[in-house]
Amino acid sequence: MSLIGDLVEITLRSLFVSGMAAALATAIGLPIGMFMGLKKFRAQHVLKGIFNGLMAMPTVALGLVLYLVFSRSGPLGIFELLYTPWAMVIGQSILILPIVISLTTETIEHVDPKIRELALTLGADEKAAGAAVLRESFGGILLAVSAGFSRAISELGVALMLGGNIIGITRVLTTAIALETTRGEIALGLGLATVLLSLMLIINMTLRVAEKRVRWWLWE
Amino acid sequence: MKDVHVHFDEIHALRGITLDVREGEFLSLMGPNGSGKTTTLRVFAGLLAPTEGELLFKDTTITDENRSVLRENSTVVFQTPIHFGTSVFKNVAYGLRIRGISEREIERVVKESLALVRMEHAAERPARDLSGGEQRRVALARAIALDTDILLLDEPTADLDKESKVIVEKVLRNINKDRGTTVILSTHDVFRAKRLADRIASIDAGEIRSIGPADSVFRLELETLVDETELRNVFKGHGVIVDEDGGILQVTLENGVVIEAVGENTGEVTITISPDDILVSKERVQSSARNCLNGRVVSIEQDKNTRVLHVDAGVPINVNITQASLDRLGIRENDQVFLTFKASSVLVY
Repeated sequence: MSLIGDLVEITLRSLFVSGMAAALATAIGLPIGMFMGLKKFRAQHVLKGIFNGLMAMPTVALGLVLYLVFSRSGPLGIFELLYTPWAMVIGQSILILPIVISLTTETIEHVDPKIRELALTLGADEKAAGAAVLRESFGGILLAVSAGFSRAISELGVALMLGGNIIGITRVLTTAIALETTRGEIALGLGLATVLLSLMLIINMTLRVAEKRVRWWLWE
Repeated sequence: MKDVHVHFDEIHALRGITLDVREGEFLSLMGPNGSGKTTTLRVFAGLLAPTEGELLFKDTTITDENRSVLRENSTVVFQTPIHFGTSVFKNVAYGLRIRGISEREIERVVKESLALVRMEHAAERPARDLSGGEQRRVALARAIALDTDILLLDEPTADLDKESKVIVEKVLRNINKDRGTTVILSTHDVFRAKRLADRIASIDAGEIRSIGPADSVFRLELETLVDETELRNVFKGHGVIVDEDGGILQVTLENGVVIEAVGENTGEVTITISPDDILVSKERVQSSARNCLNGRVVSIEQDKNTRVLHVDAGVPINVNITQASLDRLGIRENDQVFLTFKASSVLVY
C-alpha cells in the first residue's frame, strides 16, 4: 500500500477507535453527569473528587491494568480482545469517562438555577424543567464530549499496550508517530503529528460552529 | 396566606404574614428592599415552601404534594429577567408548548402577546441579545401568553426606561381589567403602587405594616415616608382650583413656582412629584402635560442602576433617568433642561 493509502487508513482507524470510545463514554458518562449535576445526594462531593482526580489518569497505568484484564490469563481473556481495535475502544472510553462525567456535572451545576425555576413557573414538571437545564448546558456538554474525544485520539499508552501497534489492524496515528520517531523517520513522524493536530482542530472547530445552530434547534 | 413564616438559615425573612388575595384584584406588595416582598411572591408562586404557617388556594391547603397547583395557575415575572438561550418567539411559546397547545394557536397567541408589549418586531431575535427593558417586556409577554388566573410580578418596572414603564403599566392594567387576571405586584415605589393597585399591602422587615384600599394605604405610607424623609420632591404650597370640571388645582409653592395638579384640596397643601414620572429634555417638548419647568442640572447621582438628576427649577427637583437615556440626551451637570410632567403625576394631600 502507498504512503498516502497507509496514512488514510491509519487516520480513519484513529477516528473510528476514538470516535467509538467518545460515543461509549458519552452514552455512559452523560446520564451519570446529568444525575450528579441535577440531584443532591450523600457522598456527592467524594464522588466528584474521585472523577475529577481520574481525569488525569496516567494512560500507561490504565493500559497496564487493562492489559492484565484482557490478557489470555486475565478475567476477560476469554473474549480475546487484546490487540484488537475493540480493546482500544474500551480502554480509551474508560480513560475519558471521568472527563465526560466531571465536565457534564460541572456545566449542569453552573446553569443559572433560575432557568429551572423559570421552566417550573411556566408550567413545566420536574422532568421538563430538567430538560430545559440540559438544553442550556448543551455547550458545556459538547465541550465535555469533544475534550474526551481529543484526549482519546491523542493518547498513546492505552493504544500501544492494548492495541500493540499492529500494522493494518491496530496502528493509529499516535502509535505510528511513536514508531516512526524511534525508527529515526522524524519527517514522517512530524507529518503524522501534523495530521493528528489538524484533525483535532478541525473537529473541535466544526463542533463549536455547529453548537449554536444545534442549541437553537434543541428548543424547537 | 395564614401566619406564614419563612426562614433562610439564620434569616427570618417572613414573620407571620397573613394575606388574603381576592380573585381578580390588583394587589401591590409595597416595601423597601429586603422587606420580604420577593419572598412573599415566591411563596405565592409555589417556588418556596413556608417554614411555618398555611397557604391556601381556592380553599385547598397547599402542601408539598400539591404545590404544583400554584405553578399551574400562576406565572411569575422575575425582577431580573431570565430567558432561555433561544429566540424571543420560542421563549414566549415555551409554556404554551408545555401545555400541549397546537402550533397554530401558539403562533397566534405568541404574536398577540408580543404585540401587546410592542415586541413583535423582535420575535426571531435571540432573547438574551435584547436590552434590559426589552427583555423585561418579553418576560411579561411570556407570562401573559399563558393567561393564568394569577400573575405575579417582582418589581417589573425597576430600572426601566420611561417608554417601557408606560407599556408595562398599561399592559398590567388591561390584563387585570379585561381578562380578570389577579395581579400581585411587588414594588418599592409608593406612587406606582397607588397608580396601579386596588389594594396595597405594605411590608416591612417580613411583616405586614398596613393593608387596605390603595388610597388609604398610600396616604398612610406617604406620611411615614415624609416623616422619614425618604421621599423626594415634596413641597408645601397654596392650592387654588382653576378648572373645576377637570379637577385641576394650581399650587403656588413658597418661592413662587406654580405647579398644576389633579386634586380637590385647597389652601395649604403638600404635593409630591414622582421622580419616575418627570420627562427631562434639553428642548421644550410639545405635549399635553400641564407642567413644564426650566432648570439647571446641579448634580447627577448614581442610585443602583438608575441616575438621579438634581435639578434647580426654582425648587429642587429630583428626576430618575436611565444611563442609556442620559447618554442619548447628552445631559451633563450645569446644563439647562426642561422638566415635563402631567398634573396627574402630582399628588396632593
